[in-house]
Amino acid sequence: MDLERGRISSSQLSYLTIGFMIASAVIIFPGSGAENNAWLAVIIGLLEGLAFLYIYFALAKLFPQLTLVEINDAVFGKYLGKLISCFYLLLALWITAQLLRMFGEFFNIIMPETPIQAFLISLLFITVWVVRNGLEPIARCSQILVPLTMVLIVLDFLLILNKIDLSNLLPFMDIAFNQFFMASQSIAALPCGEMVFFLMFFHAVNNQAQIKPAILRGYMIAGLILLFLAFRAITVLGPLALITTYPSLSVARVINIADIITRLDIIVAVNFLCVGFIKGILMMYALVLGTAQLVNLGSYRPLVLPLAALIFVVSLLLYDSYIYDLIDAALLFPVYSLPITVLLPLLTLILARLKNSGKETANAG
Amino acid sequence: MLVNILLTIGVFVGICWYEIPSLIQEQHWRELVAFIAILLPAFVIAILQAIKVDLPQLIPTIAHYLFPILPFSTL
Repeated sequence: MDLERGRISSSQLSYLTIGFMIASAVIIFPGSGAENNAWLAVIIGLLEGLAFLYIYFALAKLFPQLTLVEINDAVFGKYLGKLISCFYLLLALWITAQLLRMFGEFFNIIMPETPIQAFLISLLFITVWVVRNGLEPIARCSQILVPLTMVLIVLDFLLILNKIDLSNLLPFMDIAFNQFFMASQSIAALPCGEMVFFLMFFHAVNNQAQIKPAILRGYMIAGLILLFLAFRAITVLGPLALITTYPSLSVARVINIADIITRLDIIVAVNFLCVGFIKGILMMYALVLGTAQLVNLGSYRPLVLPLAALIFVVSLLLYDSYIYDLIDAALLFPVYSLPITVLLPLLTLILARLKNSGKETANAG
Repeated sequence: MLVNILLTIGVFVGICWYEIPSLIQEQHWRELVAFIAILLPAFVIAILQAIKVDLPQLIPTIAHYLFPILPFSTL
């Protein structure tokens, strides 16, 4: 059964990686738990995330034409495989709902009198539309939206250059080890661990040999952007970066060129709109395709609208105060997501290798 | 509250009206069952939200159970 016939190129995969990884970091402060050492937490988190990526590459190499759900079926058998796929799909539902709610909360700050449901429905509507059209339009969207975001981030940087104060980076490592460890884990879990869902699209890449270089290229660029965003928040805002809800908005408000170019918050809003949308559609696509494969459907399209409705109600159930989202990202998400995004793929890889070596021994005998 | 309930019912009826006829016409029964199985819980939760039933908030609930056992909690 081939649920998705769309094909994407390796360069599109790189753009998707960048958009996916920087989505939430364009508004929240990556590695904020490590205070003024956030840049170091980002580097360590990214290096740890690189190790996760190699697990996913190894799985993709062993099963080049299969998605994550099909890999689970192949390795664990029909019933256990489906049970394990349920964990992945629940996490995908959770991440999509969280991202949607974050989107609603952010735009609610810009337009406080509009009910949050209005933002959620408008983003869901366009997400449903794109996901129903398949993977190719998603990839083409990323070719436009991700470079636009990168240009805006560079523009933002050029305009803020005169406000950077390097002394804000000091004192170096004056925090508890636990605090630093959790900050780096949140980076490893939040954009890097979530990359496990890319195993849902690897089979659709034109040139399978190019998957690894394309992802690594995107990962490196996204890593540099994350590092830069952490560096910018600390050096421009100093200790204020730790208490503002959206440091990027605060940074953009600091921009003042001769009292003419001021109040550039809209740049941050456009950035989040672009990359948040890319991540949202990728996660929703993974969820919808995975669910369709879980129950052996011929097409995933009938599931897009009901799953969108489920994402909508779950996103409203998440929390009543946005502070819980920040607590979740910094402290809770790494604890409950890493077993699913890292330990399960690692277990799958070990079992698949054992099965393969068993088969080779049997063939040789 | 009545407006909320009517709006919620309207949206869900709209989703059914958009998808179900083609699924029945093409005899995609498996897809239809999956469609209803996902839409039904979403509908129930949406109605409960519309009539303002005090449902548990998910992240605070996770925090409540995870924080006491977290080895690296910094709060």
